[in-house]
Amino acid sequence: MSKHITIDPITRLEGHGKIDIFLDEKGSVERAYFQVPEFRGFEKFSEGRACEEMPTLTQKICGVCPTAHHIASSKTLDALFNVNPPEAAKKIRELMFNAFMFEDHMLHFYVLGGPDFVVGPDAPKAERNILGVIGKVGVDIGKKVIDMRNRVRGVNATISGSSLYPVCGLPGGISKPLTAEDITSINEIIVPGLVKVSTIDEKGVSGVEEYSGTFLQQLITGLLCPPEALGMGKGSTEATASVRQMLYERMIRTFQFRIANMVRQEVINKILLKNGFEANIVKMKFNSVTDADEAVKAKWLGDLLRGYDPKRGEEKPFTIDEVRAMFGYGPKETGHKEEVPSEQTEEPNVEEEEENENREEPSQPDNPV
Amino acid sequence: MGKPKIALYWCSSCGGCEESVVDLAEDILTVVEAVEIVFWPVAMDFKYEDIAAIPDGGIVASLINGAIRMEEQARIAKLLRQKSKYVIAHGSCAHLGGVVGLANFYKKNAVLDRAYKEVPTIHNAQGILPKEKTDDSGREIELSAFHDTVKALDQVIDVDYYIPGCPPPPNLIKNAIMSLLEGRLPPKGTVLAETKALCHTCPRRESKPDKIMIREFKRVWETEWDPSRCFLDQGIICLGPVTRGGCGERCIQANMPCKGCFGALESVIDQGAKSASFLASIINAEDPEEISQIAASIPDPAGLFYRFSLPSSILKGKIDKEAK
Repeated sequence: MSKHITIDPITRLEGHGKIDIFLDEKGSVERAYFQVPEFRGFEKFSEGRACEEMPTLTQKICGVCPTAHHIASSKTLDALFNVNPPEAAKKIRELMFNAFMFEDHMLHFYVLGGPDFVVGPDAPKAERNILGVIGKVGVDIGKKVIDMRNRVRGVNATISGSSLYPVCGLPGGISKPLTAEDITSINEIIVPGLVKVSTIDEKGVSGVEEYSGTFLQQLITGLLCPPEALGMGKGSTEATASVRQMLYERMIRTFQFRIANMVRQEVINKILLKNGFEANIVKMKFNSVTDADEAVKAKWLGDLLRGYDPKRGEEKPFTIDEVRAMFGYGPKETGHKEEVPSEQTEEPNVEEEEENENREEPSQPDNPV
Repeated sequence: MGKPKIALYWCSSCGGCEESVVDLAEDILTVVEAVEIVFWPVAMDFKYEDIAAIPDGGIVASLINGAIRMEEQARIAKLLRQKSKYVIAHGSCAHLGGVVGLANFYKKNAVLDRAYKEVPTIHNAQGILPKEKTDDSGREIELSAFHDTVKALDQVIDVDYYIPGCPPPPNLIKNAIMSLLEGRLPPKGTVLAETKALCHTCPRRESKPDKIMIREFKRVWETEWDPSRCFLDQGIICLGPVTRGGCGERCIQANMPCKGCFGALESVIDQGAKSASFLASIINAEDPEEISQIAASIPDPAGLFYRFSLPSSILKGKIDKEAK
């Protein structure tokens, strides 16, 4: 007897979905179907609309990633009108996109995907959500996370009008310049002191480029996320970022293993045993990353490490070669044979020297509860 | 007795209304202290069977966003209606039909064909369209039916209140939930936002002339406009005078005109017709030919005036003469 399992609706993601799994007589997955019981037809009803409406129309495809659609449509308008936006407009669009990326990752980690990691896949379904995450990490950390995301949403509201749906995209640029007050308010929101958005002139907004790089790196290593919330143990400085990163990777692998086991034991085996089959005959495995992925990651981690001020570190950060070694790669041939930075190391090499005096601690939790 | 139960559901929607709930930020903690959320697919793992298990009327309020286009959406909306004391249409799509309602300008098959057969990025040599039932070598799977037209929520179920906006500002959502919990109930059918037009709170209202006179409508890329002056005074179409306020003037703050996502004012039945009649009233010309010339400078008037409200309008969409 074959068995049919239906999961409806699939949850904690933007969009509608339904999964049908069919098991064969032996209890192995014979075929699985993923369906999206939702269709709106933007492909059709965008036809006939005024082209300048596209950035604000196509973004309604997805309310979780509207900024991506907005920017894509704005760029399409640039191409349609054959205009090249001024540098300042490009940078402001980029700033908007980076702020969006940041809050979107926070949303994913805490609200959508994160509950599987923080609360755990075995937790009761009433707890596998943001409220469960807050319950697990504590209201104080929960509030800190909520506040951080909200402030970054504020960056987007400053730039584009609405924190959710930007409306500023035009062919050849954006509708609203950043005023001096806007820059001040954005600087108060983004990582204080790390990089400052300073001026706008015909060349663009200075500071934004560095901002976008470090902002995303910070984000991904979870420097702005409390380490406990990430389940990464003690450690709250940039210097421990790589250690945390590794722990995070390991944790994801562990969870993949646990999920695979759980599905096998809790779902598949139960059905099999009930139908008189031998347990554990079905195996489940997640694809592992490729060597090329690992190489990119090693380079990225190395760059990340060189981008931070080791003076603030409590522990010695790794050199790029050490990082490469961790991922099974030989030393980098040229240029980057850095010394292991010590507590006395001079200025970090990627920052402007004059900027350093003004720099403060990044706004990460210093002494996590 | 436990905390009052709240359900959130999405129909034909983008997820923006859900995000606007997440954007309550710290206030969401206040809300969840007061209520128990029993269904919220974007953020919680409850399934349809969990809703079915709740006794009728067991949910205090369901906030339903999105328009109704699929059979499943109609089914769950009806289920939530049965289980809930109050149903709130959450956001422009549930309130008026929304942007997704623009699909009513086209026949169902044209919409499906465009996406599944014609777009340059699709390869579908056999011309397969979504089917309600598929039999793959004895394995039967079902897919919700795709309705002929998009409907607003109150065209499918009885709705008690409306939270307008695309997206609705978080403060309106919070106020709606709190006033329900505290029993401060406005009359049924109330749109929970301002009653006055957007113009009343517009930061540029000082520059709005007493009598707007337009000789030519300009598209946003045809002109450089003064960011401190009334859009209409500069020939750019802004629906502020005929659109309900309460949005926080988000578009105006970003130096873009109002597109009407909050819907029309209280007594207006058809937002698009009202917008058209308003614009007609500010055209500064006497000669009929000249008037139609000026009016012709509005690109896609139907799409502009009915951007958020086509399904709830009088026409409801393009009339399909062949079908009738």
